[in-house]
Amino acid sequence: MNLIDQLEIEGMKQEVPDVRVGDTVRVHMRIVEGEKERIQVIEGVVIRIHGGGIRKTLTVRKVSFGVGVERIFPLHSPRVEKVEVVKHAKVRQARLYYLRELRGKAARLKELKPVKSAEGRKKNPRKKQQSA
Amino acid sequence: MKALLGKKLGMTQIFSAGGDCIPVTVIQVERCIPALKKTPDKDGYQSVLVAYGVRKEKHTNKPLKGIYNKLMIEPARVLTEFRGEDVPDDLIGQQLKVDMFAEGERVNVVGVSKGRGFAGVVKRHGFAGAPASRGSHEAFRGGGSVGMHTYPGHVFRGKKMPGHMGAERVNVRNLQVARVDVERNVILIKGAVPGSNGGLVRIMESRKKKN
Repeated sequence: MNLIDQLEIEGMKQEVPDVRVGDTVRVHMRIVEGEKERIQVIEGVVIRIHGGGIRKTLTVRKVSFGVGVERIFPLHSPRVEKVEVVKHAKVRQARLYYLRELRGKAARLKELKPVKSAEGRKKNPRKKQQSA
Repeated sequence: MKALLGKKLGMTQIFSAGGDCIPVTVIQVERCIPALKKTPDKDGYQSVLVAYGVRKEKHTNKPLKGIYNKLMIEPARVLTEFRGEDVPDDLIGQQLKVDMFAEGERVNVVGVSKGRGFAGVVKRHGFAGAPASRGSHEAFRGGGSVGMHTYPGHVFRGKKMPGHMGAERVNVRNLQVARVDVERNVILIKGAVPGSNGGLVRIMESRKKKN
Protein backbone atom coordinates (compact mmCIF):
# COMPACT_ATOMS: atom_id res chain seq x y z
CA MET A 1 0.00 0.00 0.00
CA ASN A 2 1.37 3.38 -0.83
CA LEU A 3 2.19 5.91 1.80
CA ILE A 4 -0.57 8.37 1.01
CA ASP A 5 -3.21 5.67 1.45
CA GLN A 6 -1.65 4.74 4.77
CA LEU A 7 -1.74 8.34 5.93
CA GLU A 8 -5.36 8.66 4.83
CA ILE A 9 -6.42 5.53 6.70
CA GLU A 10 -4.89 6.89 9.89
CA GLY A 11 -7.03 10.01 9.69
CA MET A 12 -10.19 8.16 8.78
CA LYS A 13 -12.97 7.26 11.17
CA GLN A 14 -13.10 3.67 12.29
CA GLU A 15 -16.81 3.21 11.90
CA VAL A 16 -18.63 4.72 8.98
CA PRO A 17 -21.86 3.23 7.73
CA ASP A 18 -22.05 1.82 4.25
CA VAL A 19 -23.90 4.66 2.56
CA ARG A 20 -25.08 4.32 -1.02
CA VAL A 21 -26.47 6.82 -3.45
CA GLY A 22 -30.25 7.03 -2.98
CA ASP A 23 -30.09 6.28 0.73
CA THR A 24 -31.99 8.54 3.08
CA VAL A 25 -29.58 9.53 5.82
CA ARG A 26 -29.59 11.53 9.02
CA VAL A 27 -26.35 13.45 9.38
CA HIS A 28 -25.50 14.64 12.87
CA MET A 29 -23.47 17.77 12.45
CA ARG A 30 -21.52 19.35 15.28
CA ILE A 31 -22.01 23.10 15.17
CA VAL A 32 -20.01 25.55 17.23
CA GLU A 33 -21.68 28.86 17.92
CA GLY A 34 -19.35 31.05 19.87
CA GLU A 35 -18.86 29.16 23.11
CA LYS A 36 -21.68 26.68 22.72
CA GLU A 37 -21.64 23.48 20.80
CA ARG A 38 -24.72 21.70 19.58
CA ILE A 39 -25.68 18.89 17.28
CA GLN A 40 -27.80 19.59 14.25
CA VAL A 41 -29.45 16.78 12.37
CA ILE A 42 -29.98 17.03 8.64
CA GLU A 43 -32.09 14.36 6.99
CA GLY A 44 -32.17 13.93 3.24
CA VAL A 45 -31.35 11.82 0.23
CA VAL A 46 -27.76 11.13 -0.78
CA ILE A 47 -27.59 12.26 -4.39
CA ARG A 48 -23.86 12.00 -4.87
CA ILE A 49 -20.85 10.28 -3.34
CA HIS A 50 -17.57 11.86 -4.30
CA GLY A 51 -13.97 10.91 -3.66
CA GLY A 52 -12.54 8.05 -1.69
CA GLY A 53 -10.54 7.48 1.45
CA ILE A 54 -10.45 10.46 3.75
CA ARG A 55 -11.65 12.70 0.91
CA LYS A 56 -15.02 10.99 0.60
CA THR A 57 -17.99 13.36 0.67
CA LEU A 58 -21.75 12.93 0.62
CA THR A 59 -24.09 15.40 -1.03
CA VAL A 60 -27.37 15.32 0.86
CA ARG A 61 -30.50 16.89 -0.60
CA LYS A 62 -33.59 17.78 1.32
CA VAL A 63 -36.58 19.97 0.61
CA SER A 64 -36.87 22.47 3.40
CA PHE A 65 -39.98 24.68 3.46
CA GLY A 66 -40.42 24.21 -0.25
CA VAL A 67 -36.84 25.07 -1.06
CA GLY A 68 -34.39 22.42 -2.18
CA VAL A 69 -31.26 22.43 0.00
CA GLU A 70 -28.09 20.48 -0.77
CA ARG A 71 -25.20 20.14 1.61
CA ILE A 72 -21.88 18.44 1.08
CA PHE A 73 -20.51 16.57 4.08
CA PRO A 74 -16.92 15.35 4.31
CA LEU A 75 -17.64 11.92 5.73
CA HIS A 76 -14.48 11.76 7.82
CA SER A 77 -14.62 15.29 9.20
CA PRO A 78 -14.66 15.51 13.00
CA ARG A 79 -17.58 17.89 12.59
CA VAL A 80 -19.72 15.11 11.22
CA GLU A 81 -20.65 13.37 14.45
CA LYS A 82 -22.64 10.48 13.06
CA VAL A 83 -24.35 9.33 9.88
CA GLU A 84 -27.42 7.12 10.17
CA VAL A 85 -28.92 5.33 7.23
CA VAL A 86 -32.68 5.59 7.51
CA LYS A 87 -33.65 3.73 4.37
CA HIS A 88 -32.24 2.40 1.15
CA ALA A 89 -33.76 2.99 -2.24
CA LYS A 90 -33.50 1.44 -5.64
CA VAL A 91 -31.59 3.76 -7.94
CA ARG A 92 -30.12 3.28 -11.39
CA GLN A 93 -27.82 6.27 -11.51
CA ALA A 94 -24.70 7.13 -9.55
CA ARG A 95 -25.67 10.81 -9.46
CA LEU A 96 -29.28 11.66 -8.72
CA TYR A 97 -29.26 15.16 -10.15
CA TYR A 98 -32.60 14.47 -11.81
CA LEU A 99 -34.25 14.84 -8.41
CA ARG A 100 -33.64 18.57 -8.63
CA GLU A 101 -36.26 18.91 -11.30
CA LEU A 102 -38.81 16.80 -9.47
CA ARG A 103 -41.16 17.88 -6.71
CA GLY A 104 -43.38 16.08 -4.22
CA LYS A 105 -44.59 12.63 -5.14
CA ALA A 106 -42.46 12.49 -8.28
CA ALA A 107 -39.31 12.96 -6.25
CA ARG A 108 -39.80 9.76 -4.28
CA LEU A 109 -37.48 6.82 -4.73
CA LYS A 110 -38.54 3.21 -4.65
CA GLU A 111 -37.56 1.83 -1.30
CA LEU A 112 -35.58 -1.34 -0.95
CA LYS A 113 -36.82 -3.57 1.83
CA PRO A 114 -35.81 -4.90 4.18
CA VAL A 115 -32.78 -2.83 5.13
CA LYS A 116 -29.93 -5.23 4.66
CA SER A 117 -27.67 -5.90 7.59
CA ALA A 118 -24.17 -4.52 7.42
CA GLU A 119 -22.87 -8.06 7.17
CA GLY A 120 -25.12 -8.93 4.27
CA ARG A 121 -24.09 -5.87 2.32
CA LYS A 122 -20.42 -6.59 2.58
CA LYS A 123 -20.94 -9.81 0.67
CA ASN A 124 -21.98 -7.82 -2.36
CA PRO A 125 -19.20 -8.60 -4.85
CA ARG A 126 -19.55 -5.25 -6.62
CA LYS A 127 -18.46 -3.40 -3.53
CA LYS A 128 -14.90 -3.53 -2.30
CA GLN A 129 -14.41 -4.54 1.30
CA GLN A 130 -14.25 -1.52 3.56
CA SER A 131 -10.77 -1.39 5.01
CA ALA A 132 -10.64 -0.39 8.65
CA MET B 1 20.91 22.99 9.52
CA LYS B 2 17.36 23.43 8.45
CA ALA B 3 17.06 22.10 4.94
CA LEU B 4 15.90 18.85 3.41
CA LEU B 5 15.55 17.08 0.14
CA GLY B 6 12.43 14.99 -0.35
CA LYS B 7 10.22 13.21 -2.83
CA LYS B 8 6.81 14.66 -3.56
CA LEU B 9 4.37 11.77 -3.25
CA GLY B 10 1.14 13.60 -4.01
CA MET B 11 -1.67 15.45 -2.33
CA THR B 12 -4.38 14.51 0.11
CA GLN B 13 -6.20 16.20 2.95
CA ILE B 14 -6.16 16.11 6.71
CA PHE B 15 -8.51 17.50 9.33
CA SER B 16 -7.36 19.92 11.99
CA ALA B 17 -8.41 19.56 15.62
CA GLY B 18 -11.17 22.07 15.01
CA GLY B 19 -12.49 20.06 12.09
CA ASP B 20 -11.15 22.26 9.30
CA CYS B 21 -10.08 20.45 6.20
CA ILE B 22 -6.47 21.19 5.21
CA PRO B 23 -5.15 20.32 1.73
CA VAL B 24 -1.64 18.94 2.07
CA THR B 25 1.23 17.73 -0.08
CA VAL B 26 2.98 14.62 1.20
CA ILE B 27 6.76 14.75 0.97
CA GLN B 28 8.82 11.72 1.88
CA VAL B 29 12.43 12.13 2.89
CA GLU B 30 14.34 9.03 1.93
CA ARG B 31 18.09 8.60 2.29
CA CYS B 32 19.26 12.17 2.81
CA ILE B 33 22.63 12.76 4.40
CA PRO B 34 24.94 15.73 4.75
CA ALA B 35 28.14 14.69 3.03
CA LEU B 36 30.43 17.65 3.29
CA LYS B 37 30.64 21.02 4.91
CA LYS B 38 32.04 24.00 3.07
CA THR B 39 33.41 26.85 5.13
CA PRO B 40 34.33 30.45 4.33
CA ASP B 41 37.95 29.80 5.33
CA LYS B 42 38.44 26.86 3.02
CA ASP B 43 35.95 27.36 0.21
CA GLY B 44 35.08 31.05 0.40
CA TYR B 45 31.47 30.48 1.42
CA GLN B 46 29.32 28.54 3.86
CA SER B 47 27.31 25.57 2.66
CA VAL B 48 26.44 21.94 3.23
CA LEU B 49 26.61 19.30 0.54
CA VAL B 50 23.72 16.85 0.82
CA ALA B 51 23.51 13.43 -0.81
CA TYR B 52 20.04 12.10 -1.61
CA GLY B 53 18.78 8.69 -2.68
CA VAL B 54 20.62 5.59 -3.79
CA ARG B 55 22.66 5.18 -6.94
CA LYS B 56 23.01 1.70 -8.35
CA GLU B 57 26.45 0.22 -8.78
CA LYS B 58 26.00 -0.09 -12.56
CA HIS B 59 25.16 3.62 -12.82
CA THR B 60 28.21 4.71 -10.87
CA ASN B 61 31.09 5.34 -13.21
CA LYS B 62 34.68 5.68 -12.15
CA PRO B 63 34.79 9.48 -11.73
CA LEU B 64 31.62 9.35 -9.60
CA LYS B 65 33.08 6.54 -7.52
CA GLY B 66 36.08 8.72 -6.90
CA ILE B 67 33.88 11.54 -5.63
CA TYR B 68 31.87 9.33 -3.30
CA ASN B 69 34.96 7.51 -2.03
CA LYS B 70 36.44 10.84 -1.10
CA LEU B 71 33.24 11.82 0.69
CA MET B 72 33.22 8.36 2.31
CA ILE B 73 29.54 7.69 1.61
CA GLU B 74 27.59 5.28 -0.57
CA PRO B 75 26.89 6.68 -4.07
CA ALA B 76 23.73 8.83 -4.14
CA ARG B 77 21.21 9.77 -6.80
CA VAL B 78 21.89 13.45 -6.42
CA LEU B 79 24.43 15.58 -4.68
CA THR B 80 23.27 19.09 -3.98
CA GLU B 81 24.36 22.08 -2.01
CA PHE B 82 22.47 24.15 0.53
CA ARG B 83 24.18 27.51 0.77
CA GLY B 84 24.34 29.33 4.05
CA GLU B 85 23.62 26.16 6.03
CA ASP B 86 25.82 24.77 8.73
CA VAL B 87 25.94 21.31 10.25
CA PRO B 88 27.78 19.94 13.31
CA ASP B 89 30.67 17.66 12.38
CA ASP B 90 29.24 14.62 14.14
CA LEU B 91 26.06 14.78 12.03
CA ILE B 92 27.92 14.45 8.75
CA GLY B 93 26.99 11.10 7.25
CA GLN B 94 23.89 10.81 9.45
CA GLN B 95 20.36 10.58 8.06
CA LEU B 96 18.46 13.88 8.18
CA LYS B 97 15.17 13.73 10.04
CA VAL B 98 12.03 15.69 9.34
CA ASP B 99 11.73 16.69 12.99
CA MET B 100 14.06 19.60 12.26
CA PHE B 101 10.83 21.28 11.17
CA ALA B 102 7.94 21.82 13.56
CA GLU B 103 4.25 21.95 12.80
CA GLY B 104 3.10 25.41 11.85
CA GLU B 105 6.56 26.51 10.79
CA ARG B 106 7.01 28.40 7.52
CA VAL B 107 9.16 26.89 4.79
CA ASN B 108 10.19 27.55 1.22
CA VAL B 109 9.85 24.69 -1.22
CA VAL B 110 11.81 24.50 -4.46
CA GLY B 111 10.94 22.05 -7.21
CA VAL B 112 10.97 21.64 -10.95
CA SER B 113 7.57 22.54 -12.37
CA LYS B 114 5.66 20.23 -14.69
CA GLY B 115 6.74 20.63 -18.30
CA ARG B 116 4.07 22.06 -20.63
CA GLY B 117 6.03 21.69 -23.83
CA PHE B 118 5.69 24.38 -26.51
CA ALA B 119 2.82 26.44 -25.16
CA GLY B 120 0.85 29.25 -26.77
CA VAL B 121 0.44 32.73 -25.34
CA VAL B 122 -2.93 32.04 -23.72
CA LYS B 123 -1.52 29.29 -21.52
CA ARG B 124 1.98 30.68 -21.19
CA HIS B 125 1.32 34.34 -20.54
CA GLY B 126 -2.37 34.48 -19.73
CA PHE B 127 -3.38 36.38 -22.87
CA ALA B 128 -7.13 36.66 -23.33
CA GLY B 129 -7.26 35.33 -26.89
CA ALA B 130 -9.62 36.70 -29.51
CA PRO B 131 -13.43 36.72 -29.53
CA ALA B 132 -14.94 33.43 -30.67
CA SER B 133 -17.66 35.10 -32.73
CA ARG B 134 -18.67 38.51 -34.20
CA GLY B 135 -16.59 38.25 -37.32
CA SER B 136 -13.59 36.46 -35.83
CA HIS B 137 -11.65 34.47 -38.33
CA GLU B 138 -9.14 31.74 -37.60
CA ALA B 139 -7.39 33.57 -34.78
CA PHE B 140 -8.90 32.52 -31.50
CA ARG B 141 -5.88 31.95 -29.32
CA GLY B 142 -3.33 34.07 -31.15
CA GLY B 143 -1.25 36.75 -29.55
CA GLY B 144 -2.16 39.54 -31.97
CA SER B 145 0.34 42.07 -33.21
CA VAL B 146 3.96 41.81 -32.12
CA GLY B 147 5.04 45.31 -33.04
CA MET B 148 4.54 48.54 -35.01
CA HIS B 149 5.93 49.59 -38.41
CA THR B 150 9.08 51.03 -39.95
CA TYR B 151 9.56 52.74 -36.66
CA PRO B 152 10.80 50.99 -34.49
CA GLY B 153 11.44 48.42 -37.21
CA HIS B 154 12.04 45.52 -34.85
CA VAL B 155 10.21 43.47 -32.28
CA PHE B 156 10.88 44.63 -28.76
CA ARG B 157 13.03 42.44 -26.61
CA GLY B 158 11.06 40.45 -24.06
CA LYS B 159 7.89 40.44 -26.19
CA LYS B 160 5.65 37.68 -24.84
CA MET B 161 5.40 34.95 -27.44
CA PRO B 162 4.71 31.22 -27.58
CA GLY B 163 7.50 28.94 -26.49
CA HIS B 164 8.60 26.35 -24.02
CA MET B 165 6.79 26.45 -20.71
CA GLY B 166 7.37 24.69 -17.42
CA ALA B 167 10.11 22.23 -16.41
CA GLU B 168 11.91 25.07 -14.66
CA ARG B 169 13.00 25.65 -11.12
CA VAL B 170 10.22 27.19 -9.07
CA ASN B 171 10.51 28.47 -5.51
CA VAL B 172 7.31 28.71 -3.48
CA ARG B 173 7.81 30.75 -0.36
CA ASN B 174 6.18 30.83 3.02
CA LEU B 175 4.35 27.50 2.97
CA GLN B 176 3.16 26.12 6.26
CA VAL B 177 4.20 22.77 7.70
CA ALA B 178 0.95 20.96 8.48
CA ARG B 179 2.27 17.78 10.07
CA VAL B 180 5.53 15.96 10.70
CA ASP B 181 5.74 12.18 10.85
CA VAL B 182 9.14 11.30 12.26
CA GLU B 183 8.56 7.55 12.18
CA ARG B 184 8.13 7.45 8.43
CA ASN B 185 10.24 10.56 7.81
CA VAL B 186 7.35 12.22 6.04
CA ILE B 187 6.45 15.89 6.11
CA LEU B 188 3.04 17.28 5.16
CA ILE B 189 3.00 20.80 3.76
CA LYS B 190 -0.14 22.84 3.46
CA GLY B 191 -1.05 23.58 -0.13
CA ALA B 192 0.63 22.62 -3.37
CA VAL B 193 4.32 22.40 -4.18
CA PRO B 194 5.89 22.58 -7.64
CA GLY B 195 6.53 19.51 -9.77
CA SER B 196 4.97 16.20 -10.60
CA ASN B 197 4.50 13.36 -8.15
CA GLY B 198 7.75 11.55 -7.57
CA GLY B 199 9.75 14.69 -8.23
CA LEU B 200 12.53 15.89 -5.97
CA VAL B 201 11.91 19.01 -3.88
CA ARG B 202 14.07 21.11 -1.60
CA ILE B 203 12.56 22.25 1.67
CA MET B 204 14.20 25.16 3.41
CA GLU B 205 13.41 27.38 6.32
CA SER B 206 11.52 30.46 5.23
CA ARG B 207 13.49 33.59 5.83
CA LYS B 208 10.51 35.84 5.21
CA LYS B 209 8.25 35.32 8.17
CA LYS B 210 8.90 33.63 11.47
CA ASN B 211 6.00 32.15 13.36
